Amino acid sequence: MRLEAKNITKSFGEKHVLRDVSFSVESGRALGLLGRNGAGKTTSIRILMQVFPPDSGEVLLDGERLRTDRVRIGYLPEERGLYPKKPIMEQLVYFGLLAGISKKQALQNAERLLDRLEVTEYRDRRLETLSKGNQQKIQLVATLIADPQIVILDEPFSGLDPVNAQLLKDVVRELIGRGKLVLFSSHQMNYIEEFCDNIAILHEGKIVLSGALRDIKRSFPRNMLEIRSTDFGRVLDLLRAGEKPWLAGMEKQEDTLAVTLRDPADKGELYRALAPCADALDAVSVREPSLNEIFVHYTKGASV
Amino acid sequence: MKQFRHIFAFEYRSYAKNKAFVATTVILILIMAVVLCFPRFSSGDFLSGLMAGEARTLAVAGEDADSVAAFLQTVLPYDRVTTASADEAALHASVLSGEYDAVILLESPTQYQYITETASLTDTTSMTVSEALSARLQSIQLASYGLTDAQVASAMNAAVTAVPVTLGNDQSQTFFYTYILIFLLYMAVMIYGQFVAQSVAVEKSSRAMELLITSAKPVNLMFGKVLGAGAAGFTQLILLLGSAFLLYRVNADYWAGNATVASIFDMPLPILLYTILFFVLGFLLYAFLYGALASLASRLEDINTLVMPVTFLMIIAFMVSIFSMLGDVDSLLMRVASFVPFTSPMAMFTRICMGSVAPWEIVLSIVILVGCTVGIGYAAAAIYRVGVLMYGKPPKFGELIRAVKNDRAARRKR
Repeated sequence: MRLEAKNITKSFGEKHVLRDVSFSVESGRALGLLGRNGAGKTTSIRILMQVFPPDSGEVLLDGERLRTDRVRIGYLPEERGLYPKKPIMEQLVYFGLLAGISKKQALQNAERLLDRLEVTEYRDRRLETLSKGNQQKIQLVATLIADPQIVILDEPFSGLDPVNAQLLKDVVRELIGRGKLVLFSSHQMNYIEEFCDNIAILHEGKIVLSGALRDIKRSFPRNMLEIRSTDFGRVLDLLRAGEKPWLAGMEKQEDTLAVTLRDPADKGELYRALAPCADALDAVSVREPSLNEIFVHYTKGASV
Repeated sequence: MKQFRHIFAFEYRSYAKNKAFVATTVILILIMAVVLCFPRFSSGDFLSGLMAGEARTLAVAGEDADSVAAFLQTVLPYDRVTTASADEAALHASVLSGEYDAVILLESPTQYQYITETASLTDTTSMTVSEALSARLQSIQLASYGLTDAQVASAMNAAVTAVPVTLGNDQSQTFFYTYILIFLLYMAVMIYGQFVAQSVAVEKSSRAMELLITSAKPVNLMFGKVLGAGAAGFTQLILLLGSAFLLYRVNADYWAGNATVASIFDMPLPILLYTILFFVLGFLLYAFLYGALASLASRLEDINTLVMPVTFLMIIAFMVSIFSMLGDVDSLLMRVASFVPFTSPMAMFTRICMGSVAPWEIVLSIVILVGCTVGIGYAAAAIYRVGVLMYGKPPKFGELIRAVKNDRAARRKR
């Protein structure tokens, strides 16, 4: 399956929230929708889910207009939302029924998911009596109760301790592995980097960058290299000796030496210069920018 | 439709399981049981005793006080009538100290002072006394003209009586149940309408709305909520009125003699059916408004301010009907009010019970009301759809209309 947002524009009154936004998600390859606060992530998600229509543009599933009455979408809202005063099982079943599955099916799915997320013991408790992390897990159960084909997770990891985060990561990995169409929205870059093959960065209502994360990283200038060595003294001596016009700069970091070249094609020069101490080298590799750096690069400047 | 059913059932159950709701129902039924069974366990005269209040002490002073006091005692059998000396200051003091509830100070055969601490609105004693003393005076004068006692008695007792022939409603029969039903309608709409408002605002403030609005259609949510609360309220009313009726039937013999109570429980079947119809329509109309307005509240505290206009509308409708019940129920104001959807549930109902209405008027009023209720239901869903996603300060009326218009325009384009 392939979910596509094409040229979406939306404004509320005078305020343009989205301008010509396009991105796509495929089954089995999660998309990370990134953006600063107010960039338009939630509005994009609501348009995908047809909570309100876009002013122009369309949402397609496998080339046809997405019909939310035919395809189930599981949604984990950023502002968690369930009934605080109702027993957990009761509301899980209710959301299952609303999504269109039978009561029996809803009960079964709820049992399975509660068990998977290790919160079965709370099934008859009222939601507000649970810890924040456990409420979050219940919220995820509500998201997945109807076994949706499309899963939209808005900041799923916020407020989870490392153990619960790991549990949630495993569940998300299973979803991706089972060919679900997963869309992540987050500004926790490490999680996005871990799960998402594709990213789209929203900034002030526009997509400023989208595509496969690997390609995006490659597209950055590859003129910075990292050297790991058992003897940085010898390496530094070699690089400092003589005239080296191809060398733009170097910086000793904690356990690596970062070398910047004038031109990525000058890698050969560097290797030749390092040849005499090859025995002391552990690794020489191109240093790719982190998603964090990419994100900051594209979204710095005033935000709405 | 399936979705609507689930929402309806969920809402209905949340009332049925709500402890406060159930407790209120049970307590109200118990209170009613106590009231309706009371005559069974008390002396037969308890009602008249209840109406008459406590026995009072009256003092008669002045000229011929002894015989007047004896005469008044026969006229006011529930009160205690004594005599006192005609010292005005002393009498004032004993009234203020509470020794006497009232003093009748005879100044001349045709005038007396009626002295009480507070002049009560409902105290009819002075009227009774005036009538009795006037009759006594008339008898004495007639006797002085030389008439025999029998002639005097016959002259005094001569009276003309009217035989009532009522072609339409007898308001002495209909007044009480109409009053009670109008009041119940008012209370029910107010209370159950607030329930709807509350439940919408709770979902919004707990952000359960985020999930609801993405998994269900706003029209289904709105209608499910309103009808769920309505059905729960209706169940409560049926339980209350049903048990009142049963308790009355069981105790009917003990209530015999009381025309007011009997007129309430012997209301004709068509009136009962109209009651149900106007209850349902009136509730739906107002509940949709309550729901739509509550969807604009981000915090529970905001609901009260937001629903105020609707509450006022409700109070006006109530006042118009109640006050016209004491005067002319078919006045021009009432005739207009019985076609305006927000006032018609009460106004038309009052006129059906107590006035004279042509069948076409009833039909027209109901058609307008049904049309408006459905229209307002859909309008409420449109406001709700936009409102539930607006956080922060509730929007101004103009902003809201613009937002709804934009939303509808965008939707039509699809």
